[in-house]
Amino acid sequence: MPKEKIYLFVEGNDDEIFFRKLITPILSKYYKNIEIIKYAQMKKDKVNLFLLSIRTLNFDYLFFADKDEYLSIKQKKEKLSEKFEQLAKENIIIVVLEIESWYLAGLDETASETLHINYFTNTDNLSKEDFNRLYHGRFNSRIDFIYEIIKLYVIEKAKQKNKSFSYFYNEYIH
Amino acid sequence: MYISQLSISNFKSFHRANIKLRKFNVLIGANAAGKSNLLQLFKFIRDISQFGLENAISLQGGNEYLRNINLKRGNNIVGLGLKFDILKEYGIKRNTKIGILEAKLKNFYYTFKIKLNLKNNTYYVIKDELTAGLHFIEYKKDNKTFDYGTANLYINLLKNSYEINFKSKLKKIEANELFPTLPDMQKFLNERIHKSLIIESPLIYTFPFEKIAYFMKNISMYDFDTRLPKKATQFLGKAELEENGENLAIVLRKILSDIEKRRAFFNLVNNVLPLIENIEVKSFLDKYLQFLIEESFAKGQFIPSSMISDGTIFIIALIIAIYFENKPCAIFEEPERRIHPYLISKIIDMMRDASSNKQIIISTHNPEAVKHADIENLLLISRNERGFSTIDRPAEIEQIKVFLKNEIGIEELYVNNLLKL
Repeated sequence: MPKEKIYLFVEGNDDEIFFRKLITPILSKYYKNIEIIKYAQMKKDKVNLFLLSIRTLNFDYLFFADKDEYLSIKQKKEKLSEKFEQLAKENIIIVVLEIESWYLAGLDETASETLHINYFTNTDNLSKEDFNRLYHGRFNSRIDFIYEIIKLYVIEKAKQKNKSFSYFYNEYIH
Repeated sequence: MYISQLSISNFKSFHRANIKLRKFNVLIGANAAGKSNLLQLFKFIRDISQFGLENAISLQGGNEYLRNINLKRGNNIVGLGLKFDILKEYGIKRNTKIGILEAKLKNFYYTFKIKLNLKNNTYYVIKDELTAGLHFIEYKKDNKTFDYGTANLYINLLKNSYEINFKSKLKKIEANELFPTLPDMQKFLNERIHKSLIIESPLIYTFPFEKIAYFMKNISMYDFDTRLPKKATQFLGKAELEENGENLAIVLRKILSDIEKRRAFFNLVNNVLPLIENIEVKSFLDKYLQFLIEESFAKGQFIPSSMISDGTIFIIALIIAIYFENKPCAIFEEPERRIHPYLISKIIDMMRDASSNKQIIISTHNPEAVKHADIENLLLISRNERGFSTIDRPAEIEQIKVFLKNEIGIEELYVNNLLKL
């Protein structure tokens, strides 16, 4: 029996596309409604109020954040829970390095060839800048490139190629 | 190529202003601060290039409305300065007496000043100067190369004639040998001295100036009237999107018939209008075109453009203008007017995305647009104590940085009219 609702807190538009297009269809087996909240441009207090309301309503939530310059996942989680007092550490998932690493993780060799980009066996250290260097040439738009990645995305491949994605998938979906 | 710097004197509400531009620029400011006047400046540049200086002045309301009306009558000199930076390397090779020379464009500067006569509505060009920064490399017969560094080619209005000046280490070479159209261009300009500008010369469309000429002529100022694309469009119409969007069906037909463009178009539409499954353009009475939309909830049923919401039509036209039109600069006045707040961040993202290929300039009053635009892209237009419009970059104001550090959002400072600290 699917649960009523889950809220996914994501940083920005690129994250929102990833979760709306690739994760929502999988989570819809477990939840009747999946809502995505982009929090990067929100004030700390507002994020806390969203979290408080969701907790009060007894809905599930997951909070995704990039690892950024932090040395470890643990350090980033601590920083986030310090910043947002309503945020439970166990609901935080750190994306390593950034959402772009998760996008590229789901491409197999054929897909990379189709998109005319390098094939990466591991994307744990790939940054936004690496991602931005890839699409120029074949694509005039980063957004167009993202949507082409989605069409060719293989979840199983992403689990093999990115540790943080694998952790998220194994811990929270399966 | 994009305009990287702009200096203005006495144009409409501006007295003196000097500002650096980026590839994506968001103009903000209170009503009547001068945002529209700044956008009009780009239209003025385009009109000079398309219709000539005399018509361009007339299209701004004549001498009286071109200059700043707050100025004393004696101050009738309107001036503009533009710096263009080149994004993609571009150049030509010429056979010269010293061998093969390659000239690569680095940048352009263009400055002009016009003295207006308010009594008889005439004008007199008092400054007109175009400079192309070029990088020269010589290819020798033994496959070696010699780098001559950067040199400037000037076309400059003197008292009674135009001068062509080529300052470089290429001492043995005359500018005319490298740029053979220059003598004819000089002749053309001398025949119209003080009445027309360098950018009006037809020979401006030859190397090394053709890029600047193309840029100025093709600045687009979109102001979509969503009622027009709802109606059927005649087959016979321009292939490029009209600034009011009236020929949207014709442009859509062209995009949808190209496999690669069609693919990209639906990806981009899907990003903001996920319910749109398909768009078709149909002809009827052998004379008209109309576009229809199929939604994912009602597959097989096509809704004609006349029944589509203004917002949907606006977003489709906007996507085409920023991604599919071959224009170097696209300008939009308050493009967020018909867009849901949730979509504004996505539209701003798309503009930022598209600005890697063209310069985009928008004006807005919307706090959501301000919030998502990135502070570096914001240009604040305001009036100073004398009533003149000024331009500031909030990102460069130290006090604003303190507010931002303390989690007071840029949009909150904007709404509270605190950006001009």
